[in-house]
Parts: sequence; structure tokens; C-alpha cells
Amino acid sequence: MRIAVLFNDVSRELDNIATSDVLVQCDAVEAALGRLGHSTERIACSLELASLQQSLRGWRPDVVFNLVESLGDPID
Amino acid sequence: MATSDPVVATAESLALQAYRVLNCCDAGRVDLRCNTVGEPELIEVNPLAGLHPTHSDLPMLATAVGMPYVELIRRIMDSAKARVTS
Repeated sequence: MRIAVLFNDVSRELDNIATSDVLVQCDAVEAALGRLGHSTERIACSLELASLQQSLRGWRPDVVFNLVESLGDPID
Repeated sequence: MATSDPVVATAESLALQAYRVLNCCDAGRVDLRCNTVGEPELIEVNPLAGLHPTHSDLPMLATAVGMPYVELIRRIMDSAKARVTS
């Protein structure tokens, strides 16, 4: 199956443990899905939902594997 | 997994009840803690548990019971497939 792996967009964040955790998690999930015979596409998610919609419509996955825990900046 | 420990059995039952009443699906994690008289009580339900292979709790728990990470992911996928094709 074609699986879109959605994750929190960390592109604007400084390098930190949380950022690397997100990417390590993506790597691990994609690797596991690959071993199970699936093809994957990693899609970063932010509050720019139109962009997310465009990405999903463009790639047309069979399944979305959601790793997004929150959108937008954390409340201080 | 069958257990003969009544506290574990209560915890498992409570966790499944909480998970199902909230209509959670595929994979998550329910956190409980025993009170001062040893009765499991619900702390929270995590419908989207972390999947970091070495320091997220769900994969760590899977490893502890002998389930490799790829098997955990396979079971998540199987659950989702069963749900969307039913």
C-alpha cells in the first residue's frame, strides 16, 4: 500500500531533543512500513491545512499513518 | 495475554473500558496507577501514543513482552485495515 506518514512540521524549530525525536520516530515508522512491503511518503503538517490537502491529493495515499500530536505553536 | 494477577486483570479491564468508551482505535496507551489500597485507577488515555522505537512507552512495553517494533507497526496497520474495510 501507499502510506502517507504525517508528522509535526519541525522545520522552523531549533535543533533540540523534541525535534530529533519527531524525525527519529518518522524514520522508524517508515522503516517498519517498508519492511512490511509498503511504500511511504513523509508529509510535514502545520496549520497550513490547504498545503496538507494539496500534498495528500497529489500523492493519493491508500492510508494515512498519523504521527501529528499537535499543530501550531505551544501555548506558553 | 492471560494473567492470574487480579490487580493486573483489573488494570487491563479498566484500560480497555476507557479505551473503548472513548472510541479510540488502532493503537494508543492508557495510563493507570494503583491507589493506596492497591486498586488501579485511570490517569489518562493517550489515543496517539508516541512511537519512538527506544524511548516511547508503547514500543518499550511491546519490547518488554517480546514484540519487535515492526510487529507493533504491523498490528497497527492490520487494525486500521480491518476497521476501514469492515
